[in-house]
Amino acid sequence: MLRWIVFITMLIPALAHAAAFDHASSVKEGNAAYNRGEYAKAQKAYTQAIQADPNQPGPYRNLARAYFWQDQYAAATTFYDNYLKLAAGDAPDLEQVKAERKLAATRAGENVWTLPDNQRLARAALDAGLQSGKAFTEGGGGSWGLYETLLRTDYCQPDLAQLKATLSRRLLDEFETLLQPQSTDLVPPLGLEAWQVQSQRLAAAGEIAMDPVQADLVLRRTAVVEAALALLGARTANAVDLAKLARSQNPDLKWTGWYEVVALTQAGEHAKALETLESFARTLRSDNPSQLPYATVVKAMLLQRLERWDDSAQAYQLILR
Amino acid sequence: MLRLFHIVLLILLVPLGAAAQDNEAAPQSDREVVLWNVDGDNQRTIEVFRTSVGEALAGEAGRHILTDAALKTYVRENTGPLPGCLLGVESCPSPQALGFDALQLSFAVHVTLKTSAGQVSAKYALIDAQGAVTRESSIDAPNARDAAFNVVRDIFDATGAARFETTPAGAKIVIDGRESGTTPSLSRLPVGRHEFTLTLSGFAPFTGQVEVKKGLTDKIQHTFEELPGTLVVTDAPAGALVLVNGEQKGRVGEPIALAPGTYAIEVRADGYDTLRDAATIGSGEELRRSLPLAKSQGLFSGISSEAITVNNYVFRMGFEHGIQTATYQDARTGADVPYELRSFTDGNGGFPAVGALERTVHTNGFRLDFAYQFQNIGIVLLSMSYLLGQPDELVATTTPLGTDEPGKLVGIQRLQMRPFQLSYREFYNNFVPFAEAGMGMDFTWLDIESPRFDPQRLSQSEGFVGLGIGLQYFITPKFFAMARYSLQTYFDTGLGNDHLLLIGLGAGFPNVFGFDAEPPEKL
Repeated sequence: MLRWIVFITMLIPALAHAAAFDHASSVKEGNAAYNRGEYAKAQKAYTQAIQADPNQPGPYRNLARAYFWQDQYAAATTFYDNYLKLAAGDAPDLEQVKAERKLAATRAGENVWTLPDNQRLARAALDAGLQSGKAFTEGGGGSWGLYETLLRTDYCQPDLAQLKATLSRRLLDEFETLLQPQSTDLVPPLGLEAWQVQSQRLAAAGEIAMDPVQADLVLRRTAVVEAALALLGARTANAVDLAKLARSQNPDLKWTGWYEVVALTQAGEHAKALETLESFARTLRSDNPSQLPYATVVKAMLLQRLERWDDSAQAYQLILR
Repeated sequence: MLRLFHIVLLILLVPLGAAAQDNEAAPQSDREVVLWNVDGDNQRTIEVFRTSVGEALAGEAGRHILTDAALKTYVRENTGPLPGCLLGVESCPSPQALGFDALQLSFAVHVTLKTSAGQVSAKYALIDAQGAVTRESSIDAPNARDAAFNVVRDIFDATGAARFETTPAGAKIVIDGRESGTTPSLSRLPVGRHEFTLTLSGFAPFTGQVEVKKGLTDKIQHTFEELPGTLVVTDAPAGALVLVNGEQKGRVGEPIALAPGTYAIEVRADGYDTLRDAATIGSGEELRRSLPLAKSQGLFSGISSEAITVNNYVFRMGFEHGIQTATYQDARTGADVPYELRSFTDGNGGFPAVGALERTVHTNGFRLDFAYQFQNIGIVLLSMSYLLGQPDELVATTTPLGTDEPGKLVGIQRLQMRPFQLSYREFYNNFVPFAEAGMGMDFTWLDIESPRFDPQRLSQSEGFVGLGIGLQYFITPKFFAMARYSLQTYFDTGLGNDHLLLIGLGAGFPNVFGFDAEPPEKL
């Protein structure tokens, strides 16, 4: 149990910090390439740094410089402007960057940098997807797929931060919607493949979530996803720990009680399963009384496994009469 | 009587127990398992009714659970897996249906007995595996035994069973417009023809009819066929071709029907780089894939004029061939007593008394230019040509004694300086045609040999105006190849016109002298 708590607890902060790590390592890689005069390589690395964290001003300046030395002055001017918009008012290199920007703008003349066609099209597709399409579909499609397509076009504008925020919200909304059972269901009606997609959807949201509240939600829900995958993948030993963790971490998801009962049953711990079920049934009386008859059926099944035939038959009679 | 009931029940349960064993081995047996719930206002009547039902069902193939003890035995023998709906892998039926499923019961019969004035009234309801009442009726009989036989007859003569199986399993069954569980399933239906529909997500629904006969079990088996999926490629340029596994299947925006599976997708459009991707299409799925293409970097689209024009400082160097038709009449030595070229001569050594003969002289050499370029206008700050030739032409030279002596022009050197020229250029992608005009100074040295005097070097300098046209092809924003034709006309008519042809290379640099605040070269 402890092992899984540690694993899950470390997993999401690691995911959350992955973006910061990507950002830092990309900046480092970009600077190394820049210092070697490999400006195209530096440009690629700075683009990745911006994509990892669009709110950091430094890579915009460095990217502008990489464009400058490749004689792409209109692009350089645009990215100098991005830096100047995001940089703190007392940044020590403001004057130098302004001078560089002036030179780049002079050399650009009447040329104005515009989004390349592929970036513009990919951006428009993502906007449309975010407005009306699904956030994530099997195989990494939906808005997430469009977002990844946009990144592949080397899109690296400051509004990427807003896009990421919107997309992560949409991903989590979609994830949460699928996490809510219908009135006739005890648990979310998702099979193993659907949970795998949910897992990918949650990982996608974790990858781009910048909001600590969202990051916390991703952390807690990861335990649920892992429990579901363990249960459906019949990883019995892990399933019990994960189901308990999922239930304790997600008190808002009442149905995780069913997961714990099933996990204990699958693990052959029928007495504990019955004890958990009875405790869970007490909460159902106030939370969701319509599910109590289901608890009776499951109780009858557990009593069968505990060889309490009379009690089991009695429980069945309660339902079948 | 009680002993008789036990004996009858034992007789009934022995074969029924064997059926239960069959059920363990094959949980989806065609044999029905029926739970009887009998209650009423008289315990004795209930017991007689149960015993009589057992007698009445003697020829029935199914297993009938008539008492609490029989239910306990059955519960002991049949421990099923936890329902999939607890994990969400299937939708949850009613709790009753879940109970039916857990015990693998086919249906239940609920009977309520009322005894009054020598009459037994048996009100019964048939509950199917979904927990729904499918048949209700009431039978009056003079005693419990007759009531039991009449109820059994009423149920089993008027109904039959139909078993539904599909591949894959889990299809929703709708019989006569009413949901009736998922496959595999055994449903008891009234005798007669029934219409059913089997539906499974991602597959074509199947509709059919089943003729249910009294007491018989009919089996319906269906294997679903996968529906073709649809691929729609979006965001590529209009008219782009979509190839699937190497074969052209359609164009961007068009739905392409494909059998479920994984495919290699290729999108092609003129002027754009081909994009390859993989796509997995499920049964009945419409997959929309955004595949924007990047413009190709072709010969005519690789370098923008923006990238070229920032390189203000331009150096050009090339091989130049000069063709000049001239008399060189004023060329002379610089000594106090000079030699002076009188004229080219004909084959006999003759030349006109007034004026001079002219010859066409070819020279070869190199030319260097240094210019400052604005967007279209440029200023050539310095241009220099150095050309050499070996004309081997007969000439007459006036000596310091005033005589015209025969000789031969064996060498020519020319240095041309153009301190200021204006140029204009236009951009056609990588091609940049240009024209230039300006003035310059020509210095020419002629080497004369003669049997009458020592070899002499004559020189001549003259101003000219020049006009040139050319074409540059930029390989990169900095470097280019060029060809140029220049026409130079001298102020002295004796030098005629000079035609200069050049092929060469050039390079542009943005900030040669470091006047501007550039970004640091190291971070």
